Amino acid sequence: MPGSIAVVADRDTATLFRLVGIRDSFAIDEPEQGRELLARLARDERYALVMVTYSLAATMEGLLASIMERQERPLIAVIPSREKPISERIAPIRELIRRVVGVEVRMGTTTTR
Amino acid sequence: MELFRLARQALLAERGRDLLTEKQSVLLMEFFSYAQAIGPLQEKIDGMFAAIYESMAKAEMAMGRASYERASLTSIDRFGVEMETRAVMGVPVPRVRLARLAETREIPYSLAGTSSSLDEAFTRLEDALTAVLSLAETEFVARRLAQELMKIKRRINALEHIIIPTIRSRVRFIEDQLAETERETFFRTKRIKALLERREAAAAR
Repeated sequence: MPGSIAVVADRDTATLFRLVGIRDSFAIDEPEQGRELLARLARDERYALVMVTYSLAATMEGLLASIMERQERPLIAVIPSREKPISERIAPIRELIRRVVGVEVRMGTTTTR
Repeated sequence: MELFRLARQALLAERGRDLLTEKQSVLLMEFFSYAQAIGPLQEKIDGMFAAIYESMAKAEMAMGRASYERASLTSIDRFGVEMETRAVMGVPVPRVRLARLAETREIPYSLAGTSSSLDEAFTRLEDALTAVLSLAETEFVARRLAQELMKIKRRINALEHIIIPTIRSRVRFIEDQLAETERETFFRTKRIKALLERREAAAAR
């Protein structure tokens, strides 16, 4: 039994995704509501993928990261908003690299000592 | 005996540290290959969604706001996600695949006045979702590998700065004690020898 896909988006985008065949497209009007919904979807076993539009995702990167680091299902994907392409979303990945490269730098000092 | 045991422990700890360092560098390369894949995937997805958003805007205009919204109410799920687990360098991660749940022909609202732009968005969605899934998987794997790297770093640090130095200092302590005992024994033997010689000399007289 394949897992379901959910979309968390602004009202227009949610309507659009319902039209093209993703029934569980949730319309969010304010960020706080989005965080609550996302936390609930993350606990729901039925979902395998939750897509969040970038405009909303930008208001809750911390929550997204903690879900991604805690559980493997559902997967979280940030998708482009109409006005905000995801290629602008580099901060979370850069932060990840900084954390990992920090390891390398610190290791360098321990091995030369 | 204790010395031998400790020496063996030190060797083991050092070998463990070396193995972990090796694992760390392999994981690091793996991590970077995933992290670097994210950017191009994001750009590809931007293009795909821009096309979908454009088609949908056209569809909305052609259909009229009311029927566009009404059609969205009778939505069905066309796609699902098949998920299994695989391992990247011993780290369990999901492998996902898009599953088609309903055929395009079964769409209920195709009878109403829908536009060709909607069909366009329809066909594009499948490719877009496939790309989104691989982005989600890639970001997930990159995060997991980063977590694993942090864990390995902590273990290497513990070995390097706590466990190995502790064992070494214990080894040094025992070695010092042994040397001290050895010196003492040496002097004692010398004195006993001198004493015996004096006694022998006295007896000979």
